[in-house]
Amino acid sequence: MNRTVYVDTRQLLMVLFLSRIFTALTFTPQGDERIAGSTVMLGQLLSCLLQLLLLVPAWLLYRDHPRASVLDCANTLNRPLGGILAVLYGAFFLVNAVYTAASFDFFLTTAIYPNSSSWLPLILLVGVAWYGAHVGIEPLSRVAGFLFVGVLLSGVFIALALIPRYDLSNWVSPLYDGVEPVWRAAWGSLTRSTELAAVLLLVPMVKGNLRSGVLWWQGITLVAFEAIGLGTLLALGEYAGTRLFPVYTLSTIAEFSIFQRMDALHMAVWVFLAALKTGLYLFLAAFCLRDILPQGQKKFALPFCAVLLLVGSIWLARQGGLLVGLTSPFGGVVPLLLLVAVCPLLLWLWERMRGRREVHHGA
Amino acid sequence: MFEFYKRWFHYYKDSAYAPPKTDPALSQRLGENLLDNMVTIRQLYANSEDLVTRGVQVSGLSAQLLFCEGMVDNQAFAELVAEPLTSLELPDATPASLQKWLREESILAIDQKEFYTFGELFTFLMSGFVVLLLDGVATGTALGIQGFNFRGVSEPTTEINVRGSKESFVEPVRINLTLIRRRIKSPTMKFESLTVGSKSNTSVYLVYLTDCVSQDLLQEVKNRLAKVKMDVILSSGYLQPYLDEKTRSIFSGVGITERPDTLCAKIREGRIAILVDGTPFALIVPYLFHEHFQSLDDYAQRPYYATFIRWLKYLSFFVSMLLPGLYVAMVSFHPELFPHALLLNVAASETITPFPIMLEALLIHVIYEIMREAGLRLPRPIGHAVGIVGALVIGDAAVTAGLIGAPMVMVVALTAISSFVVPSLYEPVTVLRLAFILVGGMLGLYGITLLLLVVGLNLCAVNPFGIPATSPETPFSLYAMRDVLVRAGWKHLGGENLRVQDLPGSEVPEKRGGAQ
Repeated sequence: MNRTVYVDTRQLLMVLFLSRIFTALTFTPQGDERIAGSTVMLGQLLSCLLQLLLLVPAWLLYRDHPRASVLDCANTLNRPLGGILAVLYGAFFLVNAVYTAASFDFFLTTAIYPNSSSWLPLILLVGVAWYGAHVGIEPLSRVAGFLFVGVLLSGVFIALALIPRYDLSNWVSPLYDGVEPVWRAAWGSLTRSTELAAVLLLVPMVKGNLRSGVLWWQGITLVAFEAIGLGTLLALGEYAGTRLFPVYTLSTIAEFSIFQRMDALHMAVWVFLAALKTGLYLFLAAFCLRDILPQGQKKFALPFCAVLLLVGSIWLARQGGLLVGLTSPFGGVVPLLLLVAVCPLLLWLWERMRGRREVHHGA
Repeated sequence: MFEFYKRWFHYYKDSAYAPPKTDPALSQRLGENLLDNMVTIRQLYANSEDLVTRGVQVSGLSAQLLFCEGMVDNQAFAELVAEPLTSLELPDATPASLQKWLREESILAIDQKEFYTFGELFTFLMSGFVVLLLDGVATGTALGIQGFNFRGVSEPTTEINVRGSKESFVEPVRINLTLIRRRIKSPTMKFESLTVGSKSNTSVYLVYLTDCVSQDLLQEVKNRLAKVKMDVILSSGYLQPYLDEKTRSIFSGVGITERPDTLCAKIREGRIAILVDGTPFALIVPYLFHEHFQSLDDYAQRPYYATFIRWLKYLSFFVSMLLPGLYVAMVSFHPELFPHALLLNVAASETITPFPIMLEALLIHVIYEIMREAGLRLPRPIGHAVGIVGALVIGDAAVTAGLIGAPMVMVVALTAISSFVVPSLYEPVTVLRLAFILVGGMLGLYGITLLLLVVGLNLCAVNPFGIPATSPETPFSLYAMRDVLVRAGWKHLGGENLRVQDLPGSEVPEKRGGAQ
């Protein structure tokens, strides 16, 4: 029997959703003190529309080549260009994996185990991510199916346990400070939507209607972000702005019967998501590297990326400023724009021009 | 140092596994001279004491009857073989006319076969056949009148059901075939025989329904069994690694059953069963994870109760795997997660015990496993005594002596009982439980969560015969889920035509059954 690697669109949706939601558990609407929570919620909606807009060039490319990734298209047009793009995409995913691991470590050593060393959790996390990337995208996406249900149930459970703490007076108008903060919030959210680039590479591995899958992903993610934002805003109000991890704070104050705090539940969800996201990005980084390595050396791609990930995350975990810088609109949006919109657009235009030239020569 | 590795590499290379070779003499054809044939048989059989040979004159021609001592039904031999042969009087008997009589005019046994080589002769002999060799004829005749002793059909010991059949498989594979055939009286059910093991020549039967099984799946099973390079097969477990796709995984994609009714239910869904002679357990492929939580009683009980039992099984699985590790992690790293009243009790019991909680948990689980193993291997009456001693040691003496805390006894007891709810997962659960205790004691909930993810990934990576072991949970199919977390009523289940190859995520190219 021939083994064919493929992921159902629903599974893709779940992987991308869980990967995206990871950031929501840290950077909630109240995470940025300068922007009101309700404003960030409106910004999320705007960000969702911007993300769909960014995907238009990729969609044009996908329409012409439904079974090809952006690297496949580039390789068909020009092999050296394909190599350059593989390096760019690989570096992008590796940096994001490093960032995910480092921010996870930051949370763990700040909120959960303040006295623990910073490298031990990272070694374990990278080990699990390595294993996840090693078994491949199919098991990763299958495990995402279980995690999706778990995350959903734990979210609902915590939300229900917080009902006595909801205070509607915490709500303020999203346009209270004008339109500019809404734009800033939208850009901030866009910066963290690195999964858009993942979609471009996962195209050949997806079976089913990719377009509807992406739309569902965006819709569900938006609903989840708004729900988390609303819950945080109503339960914590202005206090959330003073917390490093507002959602974690929410889980510590949630109470239900004999369960007097639910931070363990939150931590479990957080660890699952961090490992899944790091594993996904490590897989994609190794996938890109494999594209440029010669035949006999492709097997070294994953170990090489994993070692880089470990070294990079241990280093980045100690660089607080850089950790924040990577999420700044400039540090995050520019690479994302380049890889998600500009590259596919240029490839599409190049292909069009070449097609016309061939038709012209043929005539 | 380099020299050491070099030598180690050469040792490893030299001791690499080589498949067993069969004796070329076994493929040699029988000759026409009876005496020469007997000499060759004696040589090949190494003059073993269990070979019984008896020279006899049949219609004035020399013949030899051969069989293995104790493997033939003496009465049937006397009435069906000895009497007709000794009283036979063919006019102008020649070897050719005697062979013609054997082939066309006599019924010395229901199972009567002709063979040509010494290899076939020995296979028949060792399967309990009586072999008849005639002088002047280069073929032999095998007469199936086996009469060896075997254990009778009895109640299942590992898959006890309340309302299901009380029959289980036995060692002789032929009896097992009848147990299956009696349950599915359809011409589409096929038994296909293979022989594995170059020395044991063990009979292996593939059992499937031709209108349900996928041809690709069947071919893949045959291909994998053809790769078995062993000289002796003594149990179905010998074949399991060859059928498993990822032998390094904690979970297997091969199921085991000792119940003919369970086997019939599985092949009805397009699966293939493998029966091995000498083993009262059949293998079933492909076997998915949710099948560990199904039992035949589920389908005899009312759906709501079957659903309740199924949820109970899932809960027990998680309890038996995670509870001790979680308890250790919470006591060691996250005591704030205990409700206040319970926290006081736990703290009080832990202050009087000398060991750290992780060591305490490991110690008590190892003691429990030792006692379980001892109780399992010892004769049954002594096994019960071990159980009683174990209960006293763990339950009372250890707590009184201050070696372990009372809550830990409760945790161990609950874990032990839960682990028997899903017996087919006992092996992975036991090992994982110890791993979770270690990780929980060293890394707290963080370690437990990471290890749980690794276990999840490991399970999701199992793809028996191209079908995800976690299907239909993930990849998800609502239609197929009617017999996973819930058990739908028979009016729904009975009408469904779901085959294992149709499950979501399946890579079996041929989706419908139809192997011939």
